[in-house]
Amino acid sequence: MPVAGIDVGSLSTEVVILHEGKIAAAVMLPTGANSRTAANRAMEQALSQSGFTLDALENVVATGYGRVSVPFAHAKVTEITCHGRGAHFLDPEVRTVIDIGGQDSKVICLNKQGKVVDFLMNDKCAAGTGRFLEVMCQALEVGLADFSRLALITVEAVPISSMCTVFAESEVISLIADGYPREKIIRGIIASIVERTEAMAGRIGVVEKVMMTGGVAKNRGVVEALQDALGVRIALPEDPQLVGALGAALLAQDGQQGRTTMSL
Amino acid sequence: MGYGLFKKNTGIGKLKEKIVGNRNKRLLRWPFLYLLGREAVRRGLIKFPYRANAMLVEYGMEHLRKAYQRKTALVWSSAFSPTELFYALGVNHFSPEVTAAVTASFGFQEKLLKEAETNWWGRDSCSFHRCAMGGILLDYFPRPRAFCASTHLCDGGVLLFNNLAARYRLPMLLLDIPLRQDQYSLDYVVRQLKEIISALEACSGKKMQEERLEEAVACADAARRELEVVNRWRSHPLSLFGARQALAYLYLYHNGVGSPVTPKIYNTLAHELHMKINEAATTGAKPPRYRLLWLHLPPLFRGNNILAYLEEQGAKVVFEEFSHVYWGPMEPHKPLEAIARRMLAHFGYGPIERRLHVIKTMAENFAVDGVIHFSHWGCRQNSGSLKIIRDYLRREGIPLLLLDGDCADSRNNAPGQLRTRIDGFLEMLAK
Repeated sequence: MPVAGIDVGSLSTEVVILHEGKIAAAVMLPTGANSRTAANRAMEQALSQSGFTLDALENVVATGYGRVSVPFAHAKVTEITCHGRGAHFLDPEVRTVIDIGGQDSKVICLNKQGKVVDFLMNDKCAAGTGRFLEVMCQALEVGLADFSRLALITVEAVPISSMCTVFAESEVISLIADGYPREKIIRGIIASIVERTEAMAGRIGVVEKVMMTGGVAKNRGVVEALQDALGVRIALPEDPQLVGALGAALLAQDGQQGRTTMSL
Repeated sequence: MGYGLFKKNTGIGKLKEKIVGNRNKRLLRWPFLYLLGREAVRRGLIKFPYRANAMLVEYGMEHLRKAYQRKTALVWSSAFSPTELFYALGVNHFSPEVTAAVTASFGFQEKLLKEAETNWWGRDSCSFHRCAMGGILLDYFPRPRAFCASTHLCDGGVLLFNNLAARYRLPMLLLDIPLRQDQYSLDYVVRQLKEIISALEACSGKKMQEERLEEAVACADAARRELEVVNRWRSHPLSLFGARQALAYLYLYHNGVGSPVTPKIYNTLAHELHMKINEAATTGAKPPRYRLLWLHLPPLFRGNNILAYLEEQGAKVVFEEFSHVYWGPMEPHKPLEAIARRMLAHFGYGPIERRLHVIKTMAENFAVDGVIHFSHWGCRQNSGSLKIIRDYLRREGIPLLLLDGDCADSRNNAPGQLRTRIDGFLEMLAK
């Protein structure tokens, strides 16, 4: 029987439908203002892609900050557990998952069985996350793809000293006005993201193999800078943004097979 | 209905406005208000789940009534002051820090915090002290004749009291607690206690009677024994009296040591717990799925439901660090030495090994599945040793959740992030 995982994040919503151990559908949409609407739309598209109906889904697990707003979910599981499950499925050698999403950044420690044994996440401040990157792109008037491309042009960085996203945006605008090249400003922005993540990873202790998930993992500049900072190679899944939904779908599958209890 | 982590409670909003509004400051400072409250509780007009809770509220009302009545000298005391001295001498004491916690639990903290911040008390300082300062600036609190603070745990409290003593030009009685627990430290604290007694005598016009001091120490020792019994019942697998139920008793823990009422309240609570556990056992009550230990205080401000949310998820905070009986038997015939030993005995002060040992003891006694450490905004004492605690618990195989927030200021909490961390931790325990 098919199962689904849905990850309702602050910026994007992803759905993965699994059938007989294979991905039958994978959808990603912007969440927008209403997470319930986004969940419904994403699921509709995924169902249409897979050819199943909602009633045909044996088990649906919701994750992400909007997990509480998914009306059709049978269980709600945090993105901590889901990213851990997804990463372990993709590569059982992974012991550390670095997930940087729209407003959260997390470092998750897994054991050999893929069980989450420890984690740390940001709180109060969302600087250094996906939304931070988006705001910086707006200030620089570049798209996310160009941001990633420009980051690889140089290794020189103009330091960004502000911690607050709003102040950092003002600082970036000032740097543009002062004539600094965009690529050097981008390297500065990346350095500030990496600094935060490196500190968090250092607190919990990085054990190889390391995988990066979440939307920010699509930015090669960030990944490379993080690799240099941590001194480890970072494995990247084919689509880092789908790992949470994939993990949720796998947990739905486990639940269907009675391997886990889904009381949360 | 499920619990959100933070709920806006508007039910007492209007009453709150009336009480904290400037026009009603007089009401707050009116001793008769507390007499009425005490009588309402005594006559059973307000219902409590435990008789001991009613006794506790009666005690609190009487304590506040005396503080506002100003018939006898009032001393402001910090959270870990030698309260035995106040009871023995017959002077009233008032803890602005504990009152700030009570204020926050009733949802009155916003106005006090705003007042303090308007007057340049930085938002990165401890919200208990900011709240207390706001209450002082707004003149809500009773005027003291002296300030008494110990250097235990909290440096912010000492600074607050120093500031206030200078502001009001009143004596500041500082009890400097050494980090080491040896004879030199004991003698040093005893000498200071003698000096504090002299200063209290001078500002109250009363003379300390040796037998009264011995009685107060005997009461402190009785409180210790009774609280230990309470804690033993609390460690029962059914865990009927978790942190959510026990938090109000912190008022007694900090203010009531040395009072003859305190052992009676603990004794009543112990008996009630015994009976309720027996009743619950016969009705087939089930223990919580996960048993948790809470380090430092949980958020106390009205509208936060963290402990209730945990319970809804099947996880109960069965014990909290600040209910641990940290002092040993006290000898009434050596009262000052006994008080000094109690002052020196706090596990949160001195080498971190003391706190680690107590954490492990509590974890074992209460058979916990995990520990939650709450880092209260601005509290350096509490958060400074996080890595050591984390490494220690990891070695002991005890899961630890680190939460960052604020006990009194709701603005320093991120409900979504807190919820994800809590849920993630419970999922970790589930597997």
